[in-house]
Amino acid sequence: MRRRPRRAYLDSMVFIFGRLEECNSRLVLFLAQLGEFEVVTSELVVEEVERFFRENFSREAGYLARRFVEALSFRIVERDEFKEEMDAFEGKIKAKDLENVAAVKHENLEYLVAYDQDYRETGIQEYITPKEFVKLFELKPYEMEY
Amino acid sequence: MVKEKLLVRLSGATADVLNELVRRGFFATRSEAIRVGILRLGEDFGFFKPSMHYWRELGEEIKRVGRRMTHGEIVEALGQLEEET
Repeated sequence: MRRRPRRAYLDSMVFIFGRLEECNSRLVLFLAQLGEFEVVTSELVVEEVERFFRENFSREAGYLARRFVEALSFRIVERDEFKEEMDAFEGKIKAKDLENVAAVKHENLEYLVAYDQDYRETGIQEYITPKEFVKLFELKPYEMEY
Repeated sequence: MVKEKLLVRLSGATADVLNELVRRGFFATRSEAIRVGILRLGEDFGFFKPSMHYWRELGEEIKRVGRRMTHGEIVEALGQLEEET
């Protein structure tokens, strides 16, 4: 049985959906803001979230999104910290998922919160959907997985 | 992202407090404790805000821009972002 974590890695989609829709990703962000667990992210996540809001809304939205991720994160893993893990997993998982998985392995985290079937298909044990993650805290999730 | 690498020499109380924060498990590493400490200082002096502040401001900015993205549009934009990254 999976247990409530002390810290977890959040994929970009959690920040993006969490801000834009009433969904389980939003509940994940609220749990983090309440201090129920510590957020770990990576440079990739910070960059992707900023870029998403900058390109789809405004430059100011991009800046605020970046600051939100930075303020919420206990730890932002830098690329040069997980080179070994990147090498170990290169070719075994899709390139788009490589940095997230390498950061999770480097930090020895139990959970990678995301909604992407590719993680499941490639057998990433740490993968958990926002819906399943919310259940660990005994909250009633929304119907959707994200 | 701006990056700074610092060599910080600590002794006495500052070193003791830092080591204790890690020993007691509040932080996984000393670097992490220092990083959070700097953000707290930024908050105290008023040039960095808690996450809730940026959450609200971002919500306001999205409203101001006036664009409402459908679920499909978000998924599509996310996919494009991942491909480009």
